[in-house]
Amino acid sequence: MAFVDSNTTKIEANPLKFSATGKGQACIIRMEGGFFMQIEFEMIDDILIANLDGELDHHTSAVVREEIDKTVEAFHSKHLIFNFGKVTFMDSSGIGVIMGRYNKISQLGGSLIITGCNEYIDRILDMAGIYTIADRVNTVAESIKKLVSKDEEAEGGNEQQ
Amino acid sequence: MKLEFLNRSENESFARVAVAAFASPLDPTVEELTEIKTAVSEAVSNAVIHAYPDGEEGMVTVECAIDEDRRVTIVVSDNGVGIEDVEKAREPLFTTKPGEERSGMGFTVMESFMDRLEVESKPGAGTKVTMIKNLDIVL
Repeated sequence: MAFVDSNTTKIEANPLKFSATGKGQACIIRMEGGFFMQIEFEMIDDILIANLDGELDHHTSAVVREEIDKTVEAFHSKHLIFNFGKVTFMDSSGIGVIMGRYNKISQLGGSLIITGCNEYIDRILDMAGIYTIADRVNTVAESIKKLVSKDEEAEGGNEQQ
Repeated sequence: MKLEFLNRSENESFARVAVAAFASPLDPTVEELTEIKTAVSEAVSNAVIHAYPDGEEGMVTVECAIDEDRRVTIVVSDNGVGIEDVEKAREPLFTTKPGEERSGMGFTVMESFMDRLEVESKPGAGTKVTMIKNLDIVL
């Protein structure tokens, strides 16, 4: 069963240096950002976790979009977890970023999970219909469990054929 | 108050905070402040994204007034290209820049979070968005 190791190692943002640490360990693989928003990426198996810290508006969504797309491509992630735990503000630009990432991830056959939202962000996402395309889970750990079991179910289905 | 700043996205955060600070003597709730900041963010972002042709500099103006009836009036305006069809622009999900992952929800959010929204705009003559919020009575 997958878990997040508290002793994470920071790895350079160089795909050639990245090597899988084996099933069950998450590592911080990159950190990017500027004044208003920092993103810390963690990877566990083929799940990319984007931990956002700061404001998600028109200005910062450009960076968020670019960095997530770059990282998904470099590390060949299949699933994406958006961790909003430290997001202090979000407007409709945030919705655009989520929708765009959803389109890209679903093309790769993966799923998108949103976690860590405060009441207010939760409301906006609900209003915008984001929860019809992405699951809402309370914590990052639970999100990982959910994605892993989804994958195992899918594999199980294939074996039965 | 009246603030004037360049149409740079870095200024969106500043505009939000400035209006929130200006409204603070009315002692808004956290929710009301968040709603006001979000509405301001939408209107200012619209100006930054759409008002001036790509790459061109232009000014965005934010005016704000509060009164004893606990009413907050905010006006976001620019001297930019203007909106061709205001009705259409206000439709949920409509955007003139779909290729850039815009959600088209800006006006919808402003309408939900503020009590009144008026948009005055003509092609070539700039745009003026007026929003009013009546804060809850404090007993």
